[in-house]
Formats: sequence, structure tokens, C-alpha cells
Amino acid sequence: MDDKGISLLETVAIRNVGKLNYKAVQELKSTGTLDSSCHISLGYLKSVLKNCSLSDRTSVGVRECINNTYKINHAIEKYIGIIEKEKLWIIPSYDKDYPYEWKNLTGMPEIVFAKGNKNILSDITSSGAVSIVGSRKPGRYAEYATEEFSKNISLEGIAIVSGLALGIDASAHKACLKAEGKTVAIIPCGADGVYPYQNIDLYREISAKGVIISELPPGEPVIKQYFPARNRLISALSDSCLIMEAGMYSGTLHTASFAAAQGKDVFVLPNSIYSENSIGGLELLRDGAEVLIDSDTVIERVRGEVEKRRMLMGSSFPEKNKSGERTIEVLRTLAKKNKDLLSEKEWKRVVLDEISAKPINIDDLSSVLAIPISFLASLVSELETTNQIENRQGKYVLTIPRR
Amino acid sequence: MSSKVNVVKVHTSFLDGMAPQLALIEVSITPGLPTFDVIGLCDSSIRESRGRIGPALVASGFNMPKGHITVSITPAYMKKTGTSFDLPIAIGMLIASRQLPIDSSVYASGEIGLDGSVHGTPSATLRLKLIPDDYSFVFIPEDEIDAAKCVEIKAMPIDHLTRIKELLVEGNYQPVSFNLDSLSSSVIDVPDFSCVKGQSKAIRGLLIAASGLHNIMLLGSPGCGKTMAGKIMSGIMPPLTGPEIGDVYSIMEAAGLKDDPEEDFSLSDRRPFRYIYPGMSKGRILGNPSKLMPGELAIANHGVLFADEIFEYKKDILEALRIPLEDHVVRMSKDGRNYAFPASFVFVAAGNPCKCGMLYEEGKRCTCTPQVRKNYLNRLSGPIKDRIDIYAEMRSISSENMISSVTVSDSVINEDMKQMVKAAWDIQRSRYNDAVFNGTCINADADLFRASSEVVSHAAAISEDEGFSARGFGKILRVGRTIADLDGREDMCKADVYEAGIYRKRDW
Repeated sequence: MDDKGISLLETVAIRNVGKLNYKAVQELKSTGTLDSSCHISLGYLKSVLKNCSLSDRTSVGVRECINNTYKINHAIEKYIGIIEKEKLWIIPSYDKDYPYEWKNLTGMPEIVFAKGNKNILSDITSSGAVSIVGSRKPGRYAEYATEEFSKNISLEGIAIVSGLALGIDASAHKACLKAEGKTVAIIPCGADGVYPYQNIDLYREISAKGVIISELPPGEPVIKQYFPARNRLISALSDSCLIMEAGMYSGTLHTASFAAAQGKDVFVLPNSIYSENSIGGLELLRDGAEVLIDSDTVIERVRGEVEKRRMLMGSSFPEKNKSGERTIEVLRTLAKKNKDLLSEKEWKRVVLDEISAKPINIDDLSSVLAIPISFLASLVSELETTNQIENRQGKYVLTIPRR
Repeated sequence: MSSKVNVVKVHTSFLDGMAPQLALIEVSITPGLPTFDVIGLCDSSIRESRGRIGPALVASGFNMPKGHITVSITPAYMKKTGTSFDLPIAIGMLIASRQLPIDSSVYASGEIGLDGSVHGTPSATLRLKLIPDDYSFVFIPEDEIDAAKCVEIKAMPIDHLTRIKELLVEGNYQPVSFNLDSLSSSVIDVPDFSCVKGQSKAIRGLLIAASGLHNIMLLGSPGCGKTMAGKIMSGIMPPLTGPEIGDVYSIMEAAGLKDDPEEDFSLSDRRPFRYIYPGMSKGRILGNPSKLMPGELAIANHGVLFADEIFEYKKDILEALRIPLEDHVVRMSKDGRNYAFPASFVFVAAGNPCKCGMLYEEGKRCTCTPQVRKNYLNRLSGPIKDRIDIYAEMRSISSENMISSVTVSDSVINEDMKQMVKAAWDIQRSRYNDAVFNGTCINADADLFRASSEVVSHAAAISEDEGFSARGFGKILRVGRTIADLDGREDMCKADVYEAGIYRKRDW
């Protein structure tokens, strides 16, 4: 564990064990004494107490922390032990792997702990994510729909975010893993903990193929009151939120209202009015949530969000994905100068890139790319069969806006 | 009072429908008042022969025999027509009246003029096909030399009855062995390639269509070079082979193209390029059953049938194309008998993609509403659309595109394409052992095509995605096979069927 990691853990311990709350941290920030990375150390707390005039409540909190130095140091050691054993990583908010969507919202954690495939988290910026949440005891209908939507959406390369709970959450994760998609579980306990324990197998699979995130420090047990707070992270990480089934007082409704407040699209799977377990969802529909009918709408919406993000981020938008594929700029150059180096898959990307610029006739495409029509035709045909492009009035266009 | 009836036999042949049939002409001359009877289900054109034979014999220095002349043509139960019986009847009469000193077998056919000149008659190739080579004397009109070359027979061409005397009386009979060796390969003037420059999809489509005899449809604005592209087609196909030359020649004869001044009628190894347009009569396109006259479809056998403005044809003509496009024969029935003309051609259809025709054009705006466009395209029925293997869009090209797309000279492309088509044909010949092509073979057999189950499943995926019929699925395999043949590959691969898919898909 390096110094940076330890100082991050110190911050976490002060916040959690020392019970320094959000308001207090905001106040400390406003004094201008915190550095850009917002690390709070015990030494810093002592100096700030000496040099700055703080509000009563904050200074009480800070003093409390200083008094509990032993506890805090003990907690840090415990964290280090778990992190090294469970191979967790710490992601502070200024890290490049920290989800871009979280950076833009207030009330998001300064530091999160994660386990699993780090790439998935950073890829979400360019691939988009959909959260799928719902009842822990779903009807067969909602469960079936969950599997379908999760599969279809993850086949498009979009990440599936959920909370590893029983029922809908678990189905969504499972279907995504089955389709070899990217899945993210945001859990209501330390990233090393499994809740509920029935999902231990799923937890293991996700920590191998997907990613598990928690803002709680390692080793933290489940606190019921924390559930809604966890839900805000689920909705914030995703571009669209799918409510598969929600009863009248379901926690799922929290996720929906967070999503709405965060400006995400909320889709609700319509269900029978006689099903107790879906009244909450139907109420959401009455309040103006969107009806979930087909996955294409969702995919299209997510792609739109990604497109928006690309515009906002400009050059910092990650063109190159982590699996080591060549960036499209490289491919464009190679396509002109060194055609032999490109694989069929890469040619497809070049073709898509060309088509995304403007609708184009296959003859023009062949002369622009300067590749034989026979090869191009088979590429274009395959893209068309896999529904990535379509022929509209003799010209090829993308079926859906792409990243 | 019995006298020995003097019967002379002369061989000839006639056409029963489209089937050649040998006939035996028996001539007997008995003393009595001069009469001339022709019997054996003959029509008036044969019975009129007496009017021509009399003066012709006199004009050629023979005598018209005196007495009852009876000419019987067997088999007597078959209906016969045509004037090619003139010459054998005349020869029979001359032998019977002992003006010609022969008693061995004679074959003759031809029409005689009043001055004794001998003329050819239609459908000579089909008739001559049947002649066995054991006749002592074979006479054919000089006009039919080309036909004789097609069927490679040994015969003596004559242009006048007096020649008979020279040959038989003076013993100068020296038959000529006709064959196609002397036929020089015709130079095919294919249109300038620049008119289809930059239309890579259309060119590739034409190349595939020519290689595997697939039906192709070219869609584009008026004047974008569709007709030219169609003409290039016949130019890149290998020349006709021996038997095919005969087939083509005979059907052209049967269709009466010999007498049509508009037609370039000659014996050559050039593939037929038949152009049909919406104003043509149904009889001309499909053939006339009452006369058993082959139409353009049959004439295009072994060649290219170019249907211009495909959306403008009358419905009945279009729908009648269904069977020829699928089975590659044109069927006719006359007097309760069925006749089939082979019609194995590449079908090239051309049309506009919408009513104003500008749909695929850059810059110029198509003014058709979707409904107008739909109505226009719906003139072509589903079954006809289903029979097209390759759809290629074309548009007028800008000079910029021309430069960027083509760097090699036209003749090189032309020659290259010829070579590729020829190579693909050779592969197919070895596959089917016959003049069958990927586009015309009966079944799209995955084993024969050497398509692995993976390739087949890709083809199935494309078909399912596009909602193709079973035929459409087969077409994808066929076109894919041709693409593999063009590449010279034994096994089909995934890219083949995907490429085939793009030609088959259409956005309407």
C-alpha cells in the first residue's frame, strides 16, 4: 500500500469512524485549506482547528476525530488488511477511472472501493450504462423481461448496473454475464462483503468478470438505512434506469426518484394493475415515467447520452478502449496507407466510421476507402445483417447513433 | 393391263413443331393424262410446288414428265409444311422420268424458283441436324451453307437445278465437309467502359451475373448507363462453343431473323444480346404458339436478355417471365402438343428506382413521395422480384469519382473481366459436367457447393433477417458459390454469402 492509498484510507476512516459528516467536509473545503485531492488527515484536522474559525458543529466533529485517533488508526490498519487480502482498489474522485457521470453530480462519494475488472468502470463513459432494478420477489413476468432486456442491452456493449440484491437485481446481473456483457454491482456494504449471502456465487462471478463497487469502507457491515443512499449511486452511474417491478413502498422507487432527480431516463415495465408488487411502478408511469416496451428504445437513448458526453468531453472522451483495440484515428490512417494491416473487424469499424459521417452509396464508399467492391460488399452486408447499418434509398446509414 | 409402277425414293427432312423429322418422298409416274398429285397431309405451300417445279425444270433444260405424277410424302400421318420439299420432289421426278441416271440414295432439300434457282428455307439448321451420313448424294441450297456448318455435315451446296445435271450426269459430285473451324472468332465491340466507371457495385454485379448466369437488375436514373452496362455483359462472356453456335443460329433462323433487315444475322460465335422493351408485343417477346415461332426469350438462349424499363411492361408479359426465369425454358403448346424452347440466358433488367428516377442521384432531388415510389416499384410482382439474384444501384457519376475509382485502362478491365468469367465458367463446367451454371442448376446443394454448415447458417441468418423465401436462401448460396468460383476457391466462406447478401437485399 503506497502513501497515497494510505492517505485516502485515512480520509475514509475519518469520515466513517470519526463520523465527520458531509456538511463538515463541505465547510472544511470552503475554508480553502484542503488540497485539490481533498485528503483529510489527522494532522490536517489539528492544524485547521488551530488556524481557522469553524462553526460549532464542525469544530465539535473535528475534535471528536482527534480524540479518536487510536480508533481511526486502528480502522486504517483493518482497511489495509482487507484491501490487500481481497485485492480491492481505491478510486478517488479525481482518478481517471472514477465514473465521469459521478463527477458531474453533487453528493457523490469522494472515494469508492471496487473489486473486479477495472476497465469496465472506465469504459462506461464511452459505452453507456443502464441500471436494471426491481423487486426482490419478482413475478415470473418481470423476471423474464429482466433477463430479456439485460441480455439485449448488454449485447450492444452497454453496461448493466444493479445492486446484487435478490430477485430482479440478480436476474439482471446473471443475464448480462451470460451474454458476456459488462456488469456493475453497487453493494450496500463494504466491497469485500456479500449481501445477501445467497448471492455468493453471483458475487464471485461478478468480481471475476464484472465489477463490484461500494462507497463504504472495506469490512463495513450492511446498514439498512444505507440502502437508499446506495441506490443513488446505481442511478447516477447509469444513463437510463429500468424499473422492472416495484411495489407501493419499494426501495426501487428510491432509485427511480434519484434517477429522475439526476436527469436520467426512467423506464418502467408495465404490469398488471392487479399485481400488488407492481403498483409502485404503475404509479411511476402515472407520474410520467416512460413505458418500457422494447430494448431498442433504451439502447437508442443510451447512445444519445453517450453522444452528448462525447460532445461535452471533447478530446478527453476515451476513443481508445482498454482492451487494446486501435483507435479509429489510427485505423483511418492505416486504411489509407497500409491496408494489409487491418483485420476484418477493424475494416468494419472503418466502414462504420465512414458511414457515420454521412449517408453514403456503396460505390462511393468503395472509391473513398479504395478497397475492392467484393470485400467491401461482404463487410457491408454483414454489418447490415447484424443491424448496424441499413440501406436507405440506395445509401447506407447507421441504424442507431453510435459512440 | 398392268404395268410396273416406277417408284423413286428421295430423302428429305422437315420440322414437326421444333423437332426435326426425316421424310421419304416417293414419286411415281404412270402413263395417262398429265396430273400432279401431292399426298401425305401436305399444306398448300407443298401442293403449290407443282407450279414451281414445271417451269423450273424447263428453265434448267429438263423436260416436265408426262403422265400421272403422284408424290407421296411419308410419314403420311404427320402434318407437313414448307417449301423445302421442292428440290427433292423435282429430283424424284427427274429420276423417275430417267432424266437423271441414279439409283442410290439421295437427300435433298430446298425451294425452287421458276427459273430453276434453289433457295434456302427457314429452320435449316434444325432440319439438317438429323441427316445421317450414309446417303450417297446430299444436296442443300447454297443459302444454307451456314446452317450446314453449324451441324457439321458433308453435303453439296447448289444454287441452280442445272448444277444437278452437271454433278450427276457428268459425275462431278464432290461433297464438301462443313465445319466450324473456318469460323473466325468475331471481334466483339463492347461499349466504352467509361460509361460505367465508378459504378463498382454494378460492375461487380455484372461480373458475377455473367460468371454464374444469375439474373440481375440495374436500378438507376435515366441515362446513368444501365443499357451500356447490359451490353458489356455479353462482351465479357466467353464466345459460344460449337454446339451452342448451332443452337443460337437455328433458333434465330426459326424466329425468322434471317429476313429481318434490322437484325445482324450471321453465323458467328458472338453471344446473343437481345433487347426487349415495353412496347414489344407479347408474341415477339414470349413467342407465337400458333406459328411455333420462338420469341426473344428463346433467341436469347446462351446469351443475354436485356429488359429495359422493367417497371413499364404490361402485367401479363412480366408474369409470363416467371417460368423462363426459373426453369430456363419457354413452353408453348400448339394443337395439344407441348413444345419447350431452351432459354438459358442471363436476365438483365433495368429500371428507374422511382417514378422520377432520381432517387439515387447526388444533388438532384427525388420528387417522389413514398407512396408514389411504392406504387411505382409495386408494378413488379413479388415472384418476379424473388427471381432476381442481384440488385445493383447505379447513379450518374461525377468526374471526381471517375478519376478516383479507375486507374487502369478500360481495355485492361475488359480483358481482365473476360478472363475471370472464363475461369469461373471452367470451374463450373468441371463441377456440373455440362453447360449448367450456379445460377441455372436445379438445386442449390450445399454439399455440391462445398458450403460448410457454418456458411449455410450465415446464409440462413441473412435470409431470416431479410425475410427471404426458400428460393432467396438458395439464391444467396448460388451467388456465393459464383463469388467463390471467381476467386478460384474450392470451399465457400462466410464472406461469400455476406457479399451475396448485399446484392440480394433491397430497400424496397
